[in-house]
Amino acid sequence: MKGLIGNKSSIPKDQVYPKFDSLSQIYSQLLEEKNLAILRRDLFKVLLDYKETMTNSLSDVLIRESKALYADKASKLRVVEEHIAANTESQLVGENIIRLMPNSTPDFMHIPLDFLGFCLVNIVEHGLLMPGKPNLGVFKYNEKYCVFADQDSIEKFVAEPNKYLEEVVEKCRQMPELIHLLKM
Amino acid sequence: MIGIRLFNRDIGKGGVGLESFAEIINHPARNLIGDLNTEVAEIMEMSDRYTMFFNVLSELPDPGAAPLIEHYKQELTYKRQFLIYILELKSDV
Repeated sequence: MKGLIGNKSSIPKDQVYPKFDSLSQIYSQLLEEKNLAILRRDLFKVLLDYKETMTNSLSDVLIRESKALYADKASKLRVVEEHIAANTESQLVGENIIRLMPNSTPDFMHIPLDFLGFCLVNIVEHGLLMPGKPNLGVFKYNEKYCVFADQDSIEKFVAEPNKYLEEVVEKCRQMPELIHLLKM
Repeated sequence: MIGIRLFNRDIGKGGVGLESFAEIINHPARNLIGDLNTEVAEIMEMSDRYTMFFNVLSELPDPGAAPLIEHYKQELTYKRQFLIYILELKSDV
């Protein structure tokens, strides 16, 4: 713009006004973005206040023992789970329950998991948030896509799917913190 | 209008009170994404410790009394909850 205007005392409007307009738009957008960033930073500070109240009671001894036991268990389980994922086809496994497997389901990685991908059986039975394992299959029932932490949990769900889907609602009533977390 | 004032500011003939582009771009909240990533990594590591514990709970020689284990569950839920809020904020950033 400096090159266009230079030391001239007058410039045709149709040449400079679109440039002033673009400059104004860029500036306003940046300002808006900055203000949003400040709001988000303030929100982050509020969240950090909640972190201050977070406790970590699990002792170092228990953490060490758990790590050692889990390392061995996880490597064995991984082999089994990868075998299941590679060799099991998607199929009907119960009344209206479809087990979707990674090797035979298009867009498997994009399936929108319910309960934020946590194991439904662990939530209902123990109030515990354990990550589900999609390698064991995604179980579609009544438009819900559920994953489970292990084979036992899968068998329990397949035997009584309605029980778990009803009881998870009850669990959320008892533990309201789960409502947002599980996207209920 | 702002465009003209910005131009005048740039050539030193007006635009008083307008923040410069440099001031807007280099505001302190700019580092937020880095801070959020640090939090995400820290909380995920903490949550993983609890998840490992619950994965091997039945095999531990002395995992603690039932009320304590219940307390560990609540601590894990709190961490997951915190993580979700941080991740939601991060997705906006």
